[in-house]
Amino acid sequence: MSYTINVVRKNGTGTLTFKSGSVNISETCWWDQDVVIDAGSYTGYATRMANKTDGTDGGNREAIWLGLNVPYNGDGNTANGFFIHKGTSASWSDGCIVMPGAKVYQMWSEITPKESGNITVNITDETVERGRPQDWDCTRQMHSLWGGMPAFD
Amino acid sequence: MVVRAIGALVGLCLSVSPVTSQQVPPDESDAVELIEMMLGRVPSRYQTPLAAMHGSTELYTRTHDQARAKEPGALGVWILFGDLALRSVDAGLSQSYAADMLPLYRQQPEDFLAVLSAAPWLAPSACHHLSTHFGSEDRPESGRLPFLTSEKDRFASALPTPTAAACLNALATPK
Repeated sequence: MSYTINVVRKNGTGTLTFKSGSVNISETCWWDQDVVIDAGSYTGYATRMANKTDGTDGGNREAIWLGLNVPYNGDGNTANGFFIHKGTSASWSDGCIVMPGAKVYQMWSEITPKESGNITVNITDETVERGRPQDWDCTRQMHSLWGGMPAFD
Repeated sequence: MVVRAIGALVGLCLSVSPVTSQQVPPDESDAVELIEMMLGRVPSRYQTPLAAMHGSTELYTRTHDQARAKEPGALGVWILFGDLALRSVDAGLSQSYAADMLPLYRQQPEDFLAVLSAAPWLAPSACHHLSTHFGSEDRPESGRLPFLTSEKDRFASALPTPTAAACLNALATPK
């Protein structure tokens, strides 16, 4: 069985979506703005973070590991310790993608087997178009350089 | 072959180092793993990248436990691993250091600062991890100022002046 997690980032927050069986998640997620995983497709592993003992089920923290050599900050650097795990804000992240623990646990529980590269994690950036086209000056049939209609003589 | 050479090198270094009650060498295979991680390699004791990821968290737990138990020399190894975690942008390990370094400092501040005094190049990462304790993972920022107030004289007396200044500046600056 294979699974897909989609993360769409926009304006500092993102939306993580996951569908499998009866599980249908669409949830806000966050990350450290100083360490931003490059947009791309990564192989994920449902696992636990062995040195974090605050798992939702009482065990170690449930997480999705994104594998080795994950590029970040768009500068060619890579790192090995990025996860998707629980968190309530970017303060829970040093580069990981975080979202509320109940949703992580719901998603993590659905994925079987654990410890297998059976997840495709797609991270994309939604670009934001700002501003508006320049006004069309119907009297002079040109775009106004001043951003507004000229006064009629 | 390369791993054997690294192991031999580590063994040689450890064998010629003056060993006192405060400086017991780290486990040789752990030391080799740290060196391989510093070199950006998947440690050769693991068969898969996933096993290596779990191995690094086990190494963290093992060295942290040893440091908390005040095993001679263990604190320095754990702080060194924290430097590697920060420099290599290992997000999972960095979060663990943010949570665990300050409690360990509180447990043994003099030993902690003695490590930084002997190896001042470890201070930037150690002080970063101390600083990120406050405010991360919903821990309150409110503890930062009392910590600074209570510890600044200890830092100033234990560390070289520029190292102490940089460390205190890092501690005063929320991320």
